[in-house]
Amino acid sequence: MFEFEDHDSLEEQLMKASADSAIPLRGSHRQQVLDAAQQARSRKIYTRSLVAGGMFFLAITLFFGMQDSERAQSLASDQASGWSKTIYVKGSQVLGISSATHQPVAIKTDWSSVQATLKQTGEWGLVDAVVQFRNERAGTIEQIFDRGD
Amino acid sequence: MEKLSPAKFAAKIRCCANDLQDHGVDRLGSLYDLTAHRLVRYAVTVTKNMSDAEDAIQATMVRIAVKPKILATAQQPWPYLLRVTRNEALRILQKRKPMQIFAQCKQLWARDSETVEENDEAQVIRKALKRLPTNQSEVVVLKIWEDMTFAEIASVLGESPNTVASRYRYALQKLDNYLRPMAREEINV
Repeated sequence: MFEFEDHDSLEEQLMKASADSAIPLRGSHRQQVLDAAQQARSRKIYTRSLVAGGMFFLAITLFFGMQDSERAQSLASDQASGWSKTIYVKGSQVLGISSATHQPVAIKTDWSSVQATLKQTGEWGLVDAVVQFRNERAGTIEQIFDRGD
Repeated sequence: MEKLSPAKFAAKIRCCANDLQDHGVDRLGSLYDLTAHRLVRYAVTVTKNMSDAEDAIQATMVRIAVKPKILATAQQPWPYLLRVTRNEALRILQKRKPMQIFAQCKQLWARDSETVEENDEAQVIRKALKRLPTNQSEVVVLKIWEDMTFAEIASVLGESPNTVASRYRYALQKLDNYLRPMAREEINV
């Protein structure tokens, strides 16, 4: 069957065998491959449209989400306590000017409130001076100012 | 089936790939008809069994159907197809690795009691090729049956042409050792 003196003749024998080396595929294999390819293709299209839809939804959500947060921020600034009541600014953008009426907090001028305020600041020298000032004069602070003592 | 020259064959593959790209999966049949019988011959060399080779062909065709542009624009479409087939075959083998140990034991046991009964020369050669390590038998198949150069084989296998050439030399040496005793027996008879 095989006759070869060197590798060249072996190669020749192998080459001759190549004509008979075809391996038959299953009859249904072709159809199976075509069906699988068809499915893969439609799966790819489905995945692509799903991704596109998802991206669109995300973009819409982000757009409206950002608009809502901007509105909430401007409303919050109007209502926030301790915020300047004159101008509302976000970064370099002026959001508006407050229309709320300025209601100054009433200053308590009785002696004990004045002393308590001075004690809070830790100005003990001033506290002593105020106590001495009060003891030397009669009446409330307003009365002393009115009299011009 | 008529044997096309490598250049003609490559041109036909490219034509099929372009067709596939332009008209969709319905045109995959022509690429299958052109290449499947040659791809399976190579895939069997890698997988050593027919069902895995068929699965590798299916995976290859699906991959090409999903992205036909790569094949259409490939510099060497036939080596590219073979490389995809090889990768798919190796992936299938990788998945079946745990089961492979049992299969190998069975194969080793069968080899001891194996007697070549067929007189068919192609069968004998195919059996001799099966006894070679996969990396050597695939080089022989690509070199002799696919008529590829060492450089082309190297691009399919991702090895250097020198490595491929030496594998080919070892493979021929081993085939010589397997087949020569049969030749002597023939002469004695």
